[in-house]
Amino acid sequence: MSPEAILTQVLMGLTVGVNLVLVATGLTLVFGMMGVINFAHAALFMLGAYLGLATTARLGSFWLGLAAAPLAIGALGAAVERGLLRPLRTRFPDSHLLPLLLTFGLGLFFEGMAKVIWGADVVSLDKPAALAGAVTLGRITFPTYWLFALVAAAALAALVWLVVERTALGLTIRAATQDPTMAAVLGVDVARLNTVVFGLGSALAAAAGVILGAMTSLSPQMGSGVVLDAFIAVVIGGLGSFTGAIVGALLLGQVQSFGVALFPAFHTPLVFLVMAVVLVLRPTGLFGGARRT
Amino acid sequence: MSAPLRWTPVALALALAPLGVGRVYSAYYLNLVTWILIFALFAAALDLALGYGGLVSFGHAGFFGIGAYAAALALRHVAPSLAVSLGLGILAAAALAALVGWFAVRSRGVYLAMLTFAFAQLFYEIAVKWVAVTGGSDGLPGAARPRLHAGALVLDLADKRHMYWVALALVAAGFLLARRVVGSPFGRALIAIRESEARAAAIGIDVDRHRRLALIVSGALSGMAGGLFAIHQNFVSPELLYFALSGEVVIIALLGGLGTLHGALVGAVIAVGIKEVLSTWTDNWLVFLGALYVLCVMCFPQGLVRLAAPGGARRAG
Repeated sequence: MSPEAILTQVLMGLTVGVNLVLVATGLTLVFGMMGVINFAHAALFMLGAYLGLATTARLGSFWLGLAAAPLAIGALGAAVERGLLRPLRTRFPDSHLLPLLLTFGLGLFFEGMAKVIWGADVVSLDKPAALAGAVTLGRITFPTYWLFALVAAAALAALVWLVVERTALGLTIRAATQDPTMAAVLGVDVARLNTVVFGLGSALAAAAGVILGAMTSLSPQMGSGVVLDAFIAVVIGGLGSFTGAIVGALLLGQVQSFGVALFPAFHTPLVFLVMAVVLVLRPTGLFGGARRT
Repeated sequence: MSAPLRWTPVALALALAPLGVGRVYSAYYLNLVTWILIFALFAAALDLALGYGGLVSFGHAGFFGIGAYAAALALRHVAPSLAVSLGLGILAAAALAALVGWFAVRSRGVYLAMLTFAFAQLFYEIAVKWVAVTGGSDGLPGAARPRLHAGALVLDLADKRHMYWVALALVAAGFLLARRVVGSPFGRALIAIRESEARAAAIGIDVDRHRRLALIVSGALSGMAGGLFAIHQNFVSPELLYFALSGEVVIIALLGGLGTLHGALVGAVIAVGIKEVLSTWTDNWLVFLGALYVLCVMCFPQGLVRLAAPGGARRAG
């Protein structure tokens, strides 16, 4: 590969990687705080994309769609946590399986609803005209929309990082992730925080849904591939670790990008291979403690 | 009434079911019962790992699917024999379970769920991508289905009624085997591990070895269910390896009640039956299926079998 080709692959991997960060954040924070693997995350990502499409079609502005989808899906996520997940977890605090099945059922329900409302066919979300074409960066050319997707997702991810690492809210989130009981004893309203974090994670997934949806295409199953990658990123980084999710997502973006370029037929097994190697060497992921299983 | 007596009418009705085809109901309903039986075996196999061994697997479709593919490929390329194709299906699934167990035996809870899930997805991807062998996402149509000769009796598996009897006999054998495993010293040790790993280890039970073995037995039985399904359908596709099926089988086992084995049959009747009825009634069955799953988890988390007999309540998942 020429240096230009390598640079292009790195940039493409970075674009995928920062968007994976957005998807992975919700997964890892929800797991860290509640011990729940959210199988409805793919559906929330997909609903975000479709809401972006619907808003864009109705109001004629991609930007309004990009703003409205996260707000609506964030509210939906918060409602799911408050209305279904919290009562279930209060009754069965030790069960890993019941929340997983609940979110699995919800995912199917949302996917079915999307089919009812928007049809099962693949549709496309038009990118704004200003982001059409390609830009020249030094000696390489890169699609303008990809560059936008890279910068927008990176900015959003940086914002989330600032919130988690530098604000009072972030401090309580990190405390509740490390030890929810101790955080509650110290006066953190962990139940309310769970709702906030679930909503926030859903909103980020929806934002990534709109950004990536306009890059590729929309279908009711569009979430499963992306969220599977995000799952793997989170497992590599260590379930429950926010730093781990970022590192895992960025690493996976590069593995994906170079995997597609170098081994087009077998890049997916490559991703699983990376995960298996990491898990054999470190069963709880790169940044995961042995604390919670 | 003792347990064998209670099951006699059920067994009798199941054994005589094919005689009603064309007279009382159409062949479709016999197929439906065959599917229910196969999925009951699959769910019982999962129950062995999950309900008895406490192994939270979210990748059992991997064992079912690889059993199905191995059986279908054996029919095409090796020999048109039920024993060979089903045997290879079981062997392939058991081998995969041994591999997964080797990787995953130290993982617990959600990590185990993710690892099993990842392995199943890996084989799903291979089934989709390796078009030359698996036919890719179009799936693999079957070859000629085997005939069984047992003395003067000839069973032609292309005949749905004959296939049904074979499936019934094998599923019953699978259930009996699972029951024997649960009742054996090995099964008792497994339950001890589920209840308290530390205490089980303290009295000298090799925890990792028992968990690995449980996964292999569970995987082998799942592979048998998958092989039966492949021979019955005469068709395999990557859907059989997809994680949606892993979720479905957990729902079936949960619906019936974990740690009961026969709950799997109740769960399969309800889940497979409802899915079939829904998909013939409406194109939007996914909405109802999802809502139903949510309802099951919120309202009957202990399983329906225990709802009927509340004495044996045990914690869920």
